[in-house]
Amino acid sequence: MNTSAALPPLTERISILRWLRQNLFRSVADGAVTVLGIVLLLSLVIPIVTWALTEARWQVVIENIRLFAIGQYPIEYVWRVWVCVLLLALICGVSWGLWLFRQRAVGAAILTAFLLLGLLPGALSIPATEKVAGFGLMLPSLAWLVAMSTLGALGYAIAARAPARARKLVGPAWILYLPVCFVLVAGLGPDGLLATVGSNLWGGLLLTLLITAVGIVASFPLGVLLALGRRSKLPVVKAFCIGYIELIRGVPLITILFMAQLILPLFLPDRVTFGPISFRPEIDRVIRAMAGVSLFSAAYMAENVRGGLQNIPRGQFEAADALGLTATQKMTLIVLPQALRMVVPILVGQFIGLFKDTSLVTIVSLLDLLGIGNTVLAQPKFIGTQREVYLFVAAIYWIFSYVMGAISRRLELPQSASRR
Amino acid sequence: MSDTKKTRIPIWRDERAYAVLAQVAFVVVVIAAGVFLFGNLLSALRRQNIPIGFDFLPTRAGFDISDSFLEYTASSNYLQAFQVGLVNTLVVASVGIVLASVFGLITGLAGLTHNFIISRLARVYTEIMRNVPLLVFLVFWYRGIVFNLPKISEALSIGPILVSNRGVAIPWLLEGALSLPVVRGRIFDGGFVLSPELFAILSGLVIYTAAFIGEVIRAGVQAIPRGQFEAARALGFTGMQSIRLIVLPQALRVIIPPLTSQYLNLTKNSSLAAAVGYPDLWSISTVIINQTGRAVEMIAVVMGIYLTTSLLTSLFMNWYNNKVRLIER
Repeated sequence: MNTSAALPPLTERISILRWLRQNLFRSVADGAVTVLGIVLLLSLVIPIVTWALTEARWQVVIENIRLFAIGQYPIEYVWRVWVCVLLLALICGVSWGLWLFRQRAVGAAILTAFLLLGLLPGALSIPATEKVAGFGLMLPSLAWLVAMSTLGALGYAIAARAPARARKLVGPAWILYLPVCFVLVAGLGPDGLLATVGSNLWGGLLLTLLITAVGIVASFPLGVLLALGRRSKLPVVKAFCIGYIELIRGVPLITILFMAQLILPLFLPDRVTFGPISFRPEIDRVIRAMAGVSLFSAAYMAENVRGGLQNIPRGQFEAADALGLTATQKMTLIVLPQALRMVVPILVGQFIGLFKDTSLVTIVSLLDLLGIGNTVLAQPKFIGTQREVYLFVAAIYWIFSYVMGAISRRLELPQSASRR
Repeated sequence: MSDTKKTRIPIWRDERAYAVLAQVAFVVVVIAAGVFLFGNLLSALRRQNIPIGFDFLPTRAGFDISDSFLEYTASSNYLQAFQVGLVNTLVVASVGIVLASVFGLITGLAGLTHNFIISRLARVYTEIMRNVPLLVFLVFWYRGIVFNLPKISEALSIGPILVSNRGVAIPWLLEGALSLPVVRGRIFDGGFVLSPELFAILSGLVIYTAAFIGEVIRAGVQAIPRGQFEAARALGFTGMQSIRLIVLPQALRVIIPPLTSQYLNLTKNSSLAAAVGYPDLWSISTVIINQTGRAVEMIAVVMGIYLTTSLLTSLFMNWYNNKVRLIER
């Protein structure tokens, strides 16, 4: 029974005047501050809104929306990117149906994210100059929205009816999702439906999201290992992990990205020979950036996971020992599941930070969302549109970070067996 | 009795033996990997004819630096260029930390007031900043706002401070007297003039970090139970007294650790100065790397400097934290 719904006594009921008095005009000084605040607000908002509605040349964003979304990715293969998005809709639907069916807020946030993604294909088809018969460009956004919500709903329906055994497949599906996307985006062979698309053609939001995803997936296990190493009883392992974590946390990301770009290739041998096969190992620049971001993020991940590990009561370790579990079993079955569950909100916060940090790959001349923004500004037609372009880029980062943050704040994880 | 002494754990069952073995194996793997990687590195450098060492530092740099607090000309050497960058970074970081603390405190307190408008303004400001990458904000701030400030002849005056697209002039102590800046023709006269780049990186970092510091302070004050404040009022403390003597000392304990990491973040983030064309330690180092190809040495030295600064800052903040921490019986 919700007691807060009961009405307050008559004298306490809010009337507009009363609310104003309590929140804006408690005293003379308070009133003065309020007036000052309103003046400040208006002096900021009015010029900005006037500028945005009259002066701003939003044409620069509209005409280059495809660049912002996918960079120079070949139009004939854009459909592969959209297959990734559709797959994501399906998996999200299934996961939602399985884990989060009571949480409307989370669902609404995910839906919003998809609506925004879904608007992109429609927006992509706006420039009339590019009438290439790409599959992704021909479908108007409405059809995409329908397709995605159908797949999401399908996933939800599957999840609701799936037998318990099938439910265990969702985890592996998530794990498989990223490699599948990578194959779809990068391609496999020299030609055909899945022809290779070089990473120099990846760009815009696509590149930003790919670096983020790889960074998260790669730094997570690395971070867990480092956290375990830092708590290890073996002094050598412990010293190594502490050294790594403190070194990385003490230097700016940009130095690590530069190191990945300039020095990482030098660490590779000149030639690798396996019997008859001999080749010159090379890592392309996108992979180098991904490596740099992952190595950087792993150190921060380790500290967050360590926070969780420290909060596991001794009794849990002792109970595991008493049950005769091996050290590996104790960690993977008893300690880590509880520790990780505890730090999920912090980890999501870190993932958001990583997503924002990927913008630094612009400085090592990759064309991520911000990098594309810089190239767009070099177009002679759009000289002097810095504010429009950077505001648009900032808005995209803002929406993604805010939605992720909102989800993590509302997220209620399925309780562990001990708490049910 | 003597029987139990004889039955020793066989070595292949002894956990201690495993521990030693595991560590030896770990060391061997790490050293092997290190030798392999550095061998590759050295041979790659030899192939590219890049020597290793710091012998290039005393050679003539030949590039200009727009902002410098030290004597520097294009005929100075790399070491001097590097020192200029180091001083620039230290100036930006230390002034930035002070200003960000002041504005962060204002933001945090604004977020805590009962005043609806003020607390909402603070909230919106923090929410905007916290969800945008610093680099995006910096380039927007520099190329979108600072570039488009009024011309020097129409410089905005905010109190005694003059703001224009050629820089920002602030009052400054010159030869023992306070000198107020004025516009003379096309230049500022008197006061201290911040170049647009210095102004952009400093104000950009402060605006960005203040939002995070504000959040830290708000969370710290909110962690103090209301009862403490009410008890102070009941004892007859004034509002200011109860904040200064009761709430703040307790809140500081919660605030200091996250505040430290914000200070460290600001210091490390100052390495993005290159994005606004300010010659800090890192951006000068990249110029040196481009000219000499000595990436390994330069990156190592810069990392070493940032690491030292970070460690020193956290040492100081830990000392301060120990001072304010709760002393129990």
